[in-house]
Amino acid sequence: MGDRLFLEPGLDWQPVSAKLVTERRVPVAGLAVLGLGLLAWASFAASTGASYAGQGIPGVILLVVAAVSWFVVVPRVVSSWRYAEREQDLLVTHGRLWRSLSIVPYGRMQVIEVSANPVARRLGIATVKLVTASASTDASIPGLPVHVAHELRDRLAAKGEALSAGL
Amino acid sequence: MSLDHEATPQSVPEPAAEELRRLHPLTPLFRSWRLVGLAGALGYGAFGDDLSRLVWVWQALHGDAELSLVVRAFLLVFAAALASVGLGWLAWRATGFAIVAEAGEPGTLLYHRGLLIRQRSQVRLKRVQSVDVNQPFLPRVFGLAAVKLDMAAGEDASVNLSYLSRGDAWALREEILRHTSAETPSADAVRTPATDVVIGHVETAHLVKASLLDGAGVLLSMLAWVVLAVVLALTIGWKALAPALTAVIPLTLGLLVALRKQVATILRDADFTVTRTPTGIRTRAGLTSTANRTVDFDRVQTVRIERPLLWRRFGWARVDVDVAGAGEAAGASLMPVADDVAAVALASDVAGEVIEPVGGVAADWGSVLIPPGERARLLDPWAVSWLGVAVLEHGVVSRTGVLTRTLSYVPFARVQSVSVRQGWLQRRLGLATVYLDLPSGTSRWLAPHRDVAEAGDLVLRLSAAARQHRRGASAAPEPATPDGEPTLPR
Repeated sequence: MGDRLFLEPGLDWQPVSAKLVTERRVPVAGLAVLGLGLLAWASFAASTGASYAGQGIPGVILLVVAAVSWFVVVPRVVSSWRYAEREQDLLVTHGRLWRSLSIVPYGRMQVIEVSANPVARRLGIATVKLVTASASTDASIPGLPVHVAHELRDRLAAKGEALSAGL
Repeated sequence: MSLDHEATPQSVPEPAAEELRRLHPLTPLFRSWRLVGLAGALGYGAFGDDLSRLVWVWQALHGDAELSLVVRAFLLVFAAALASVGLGWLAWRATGFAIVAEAGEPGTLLYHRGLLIRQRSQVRLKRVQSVDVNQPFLPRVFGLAAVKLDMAAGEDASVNLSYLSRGDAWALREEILRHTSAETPSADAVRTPATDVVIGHVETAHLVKASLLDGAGVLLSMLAWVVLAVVLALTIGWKALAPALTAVIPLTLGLLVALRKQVATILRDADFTVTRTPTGIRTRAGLTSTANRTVDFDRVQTVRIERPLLWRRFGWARVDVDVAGAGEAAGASLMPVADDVAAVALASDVAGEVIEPVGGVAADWGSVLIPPGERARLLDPWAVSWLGVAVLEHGVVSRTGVLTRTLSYVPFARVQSVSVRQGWLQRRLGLATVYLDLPSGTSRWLAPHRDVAEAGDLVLRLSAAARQHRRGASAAPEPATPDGEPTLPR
């Protein structure tokens, strides 16, 4: 039932690139390294004698969180991103536990931003963000292959021009 | 300054220096009124009782006598005040504004200022969201006023012309409004201010009562805490008073802050008068300093009717509007308190259609109001009886809020984008929340806990209606204002 609401059937829903998983895993790797560091420090402290077993707990927790993010959360969230272009508006949906769907009319677009952080640049993906006059409009599509991002940007810009409406 | 500095498509003629209008010559004095006031006070303290002491100062300056602390402070502040006023005067000389308009084109406000760094702004008057005439306390005493133009880009982009003489300020406001509300100024030149009608006024006694009742919950709970702490201290014994007091001190401070806020609200909204002009609503309020706010009908993003808990038994309500860019500005209030019928009439007038049936909180909507999903009761047991959405002809109404029952109306033509969200609990219960995104500076419109099937339907209807109204607005500049007599519920 919810699927019909967030993924309206009959539309050409496009997924984002699987490379986004790699990009999203980078901070998770940082977390894992931090956890390992904490564990190493705890074991070093244990080897010098003056310690108790509880010192390892924060490291273990970090590692578990990192593992769950790495293997479950990141792939599932990334695979939930979808976008669809309709005649008059763009639909963007994402999220597994907390789902969201934004419908942005082309005529309301003020700016189309294409951005990529260093990791994304290496992977050859970019984020396309639609900015309207509203700060709460949440319509960005991460993890698009660069050429797809540029094509999408140009298509959106053309449609925005044709359907422009102000405030 | 991020004004509408867009590459001007039609070149605006550069006005000659003498065409620029100046601000009032007293402006530098009021801009640095704190220093001037302090210098005055200190001067009075130093020499007030004995003017012959001036001779003594003369001696002191020549090293014949010791200067007292007050005299030294006075000299210092006097010098600072002089410098500040002097700089202010130079800045005043560099400041000027003019309205230029070519025949048939909407006008542009040129605003030149800046002593060291020259700034020249061109404000397209068509883009102005609202025009305020403000009179802070001191300038008000001297018959001066400031004209403030709000732009959609937010607080940074607003233009504040301070100060002008009161008459000039009102004339300028009229002039600007002629440009903002009409495609062509000439078409509107025939309109006279005589068509303005006062449609509401709030008695101060009523305002004070309402304001106290509105804040009563906070005040009462705070008082209860204080009483509780004292009672605890008394029953447990005086030794426990110290820890009890540490709990009381922040509460007392909180109480004072709340009281101060109440007084500020009352001062701000005192003598509240609502006037209907042909293109919008003008409000005027304030005891020590007055604020005049003008809101064009076609600039309104949201209309809200709010009914705090303790107002409901009296059948009172307040009306707020959101205008892009105005932010949390004080003037967002259209009516601080009124009885239900008047509040709904005013709100409907601004919205251009009736947005609530007669009857206030218990109004009978019939089948127009769609209740939330069945199982919303589990997530929001206190609000569920109030929650609901009604899709009207030109806009959509949502009812939210537990303590303060709020009804928000958004015209379809203002909707930027539509979104749906669903948390994991909502998903379990087959519910989803629908949002409308509106320009920055306005609050978000939301319809919580819709049944999933109905939410999908609502999203479709809302985006279709928004599209249709947008197209209507861009194809022909059809005014969003009701022509002639508005249809009011009675």
